[in-house]
Amino acid sequence: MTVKSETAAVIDRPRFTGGDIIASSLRSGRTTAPLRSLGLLVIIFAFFSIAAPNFFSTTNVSSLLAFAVPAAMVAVGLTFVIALGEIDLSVASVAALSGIVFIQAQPQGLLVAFIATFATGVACGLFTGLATTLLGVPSLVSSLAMLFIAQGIAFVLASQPITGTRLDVTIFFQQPIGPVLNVRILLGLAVVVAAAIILGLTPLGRALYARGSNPRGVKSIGLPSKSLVIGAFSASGLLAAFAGSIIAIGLNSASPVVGGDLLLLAIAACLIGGSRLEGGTGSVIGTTLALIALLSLQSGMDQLGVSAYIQQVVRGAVVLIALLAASPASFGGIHLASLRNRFTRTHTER
Amino acid sequence: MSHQTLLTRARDIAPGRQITLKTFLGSSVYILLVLMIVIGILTNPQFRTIDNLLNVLRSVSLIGIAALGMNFVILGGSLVDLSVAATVSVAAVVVLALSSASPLVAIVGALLAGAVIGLLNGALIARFKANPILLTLATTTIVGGALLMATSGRVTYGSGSTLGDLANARIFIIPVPVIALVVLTLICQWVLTSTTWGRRLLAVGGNENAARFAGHSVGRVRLEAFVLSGVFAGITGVFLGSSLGAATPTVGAGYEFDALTAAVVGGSVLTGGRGTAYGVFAGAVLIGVLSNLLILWGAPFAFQQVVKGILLVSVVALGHFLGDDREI
Repeated sequence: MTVKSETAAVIDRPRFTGGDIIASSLRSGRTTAPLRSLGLLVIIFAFFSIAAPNFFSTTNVSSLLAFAVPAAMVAVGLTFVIALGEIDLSVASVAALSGIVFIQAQPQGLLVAFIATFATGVACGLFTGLATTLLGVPSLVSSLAMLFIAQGIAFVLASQPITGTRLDVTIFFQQPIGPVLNVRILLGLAVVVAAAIILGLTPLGRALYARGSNPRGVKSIGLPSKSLVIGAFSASGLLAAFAGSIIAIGLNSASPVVGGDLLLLAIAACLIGGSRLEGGTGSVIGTTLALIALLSLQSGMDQLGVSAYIQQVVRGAVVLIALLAASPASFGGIHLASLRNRFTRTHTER
Repeated sequence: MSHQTLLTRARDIAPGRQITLKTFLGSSVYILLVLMIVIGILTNPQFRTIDNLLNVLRSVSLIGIAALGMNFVILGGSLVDLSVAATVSVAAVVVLALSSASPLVAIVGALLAGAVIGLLNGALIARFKANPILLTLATTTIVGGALLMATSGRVTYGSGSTLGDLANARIFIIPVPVIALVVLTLICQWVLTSTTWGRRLLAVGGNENAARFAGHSVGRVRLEAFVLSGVFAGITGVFLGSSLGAATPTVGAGYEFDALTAAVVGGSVLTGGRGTAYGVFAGAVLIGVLSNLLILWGAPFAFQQVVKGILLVSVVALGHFLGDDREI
């Protein structure tokens, strides 16, 4: 009897040894990708610290980090969605819509404004998630639809930039804490750490990765695949809304076209930070470090006086190079997955 | 006997050959299109005038042409070509910049530019097996930035009115872009159903491994689809630039998502291998009819985006529930 219950316990809850976990995270690139992002960040920082005299100053680093907060929130949400093998194209327009909702709800009180904003984000995420799971619409299409809908509602609500009433909130978020940090950066840091813990260290995170690497397998071992997808899209919508409100607070205004390049930035950060669009990979820390690296590239080029047009080309080129280097078929980008494939490949996969 | 059944079944499931009730229902776009037109005719007297209907067709013709090109990419299993936005802008600027030479040179130049961008996308995707969403997003950023650099962000004006006359001309009463859309739709449908290349494209999109075993070069077929998408976006850019007579470097922004919407609403399945050019045509017209009706009913202009989004989800969802064996 005792033996039997012991067996049942083993089947219920497979115990992972430390070695197993390390091996599996190495295989999925969850450990190596943040290091790669960190390397990129260090290189970019070193280059611009030498090339641009004011780059490595407390003021610049502080404003860089503050600028990165909303983009990081969007990118972290997208990391969740990509980890389970879906895509969310709607994040930038959901952020813009939420910013407008936040500014417009301000006269009703700050708490109401935040609740309305978060409700907007979650509703947008729920729409995408429900359309993907219950209606059988691929997330590329459902999130594109959400992009259109959010864009349309944003323009209906505010056809031109609107200004907020609460300047005190804007000032509070810029309150410095120590030489580099301020309230806004701390808030961003808290979100990133919480997300990193959820995705990296909890059973929920493992379930998300599992859904990404093997959707059918997840269903067959009884994990709620649909709920995972709906939840991840809601989280992505919520974080996009948070980002939208942070942008709106920072500017004390909102417009339907704010944050236009958030989508490319977020996708690029996920990709460089170790996410693969096939699902099952990606890490919050990697994404965040990659995002800061991309934004420091932008800030450095600003300081060197590089024109915005050239910056756009450079931004695209960085994404392109990262994409080609991460591809299993590239010359230089040999990583564990491709090495493993090289030895276990059958003739069908050639 | 069983051999005979097999043959019959093979004929039944051959796409594009026989239109059964199920395939018709599976492409919910036709049902919705008929429904919307009937509603429009019944509710709004302005809707049923010939002028208005021609305006609807004219307004969707540019998106329709880009969508026909994007359709090849989707059918080949490469998901989406987001570089259409930059390609349309490049073609519009090139056709205006070269218009002082001669209309023919300008048009050929613009289409060549489109083909080169398509070639770049296709070659990189084939060589590196990169994800098409990200890769085309990266190339559209690079090409768009390069175009901004080349034009210093300024508006390009055309010289001479030959091109503008051509793009704004009507044959009988039908605008030239509409004729171009209809002719291109017929050609694309013929290519998809009756040429070796079209069948190969559908085979590659339908089952990549099977196509590979059958000896098709998957990468090459997909590359050719991207080149076609570039050329079609180029045609859209030519019409756009020459009918406006002036083009900003970002004039094509939004065309990539609109073209994707038209193709998906038209019943093309994102995993590839299933879809028709007729469907894309109907999808583009459906979007135009809806926008037109919303304007006639006095809805705010921005509301069109909302309706486009709802349409996108409902058409795909309807197709999912009606078409039994589709795995999206």
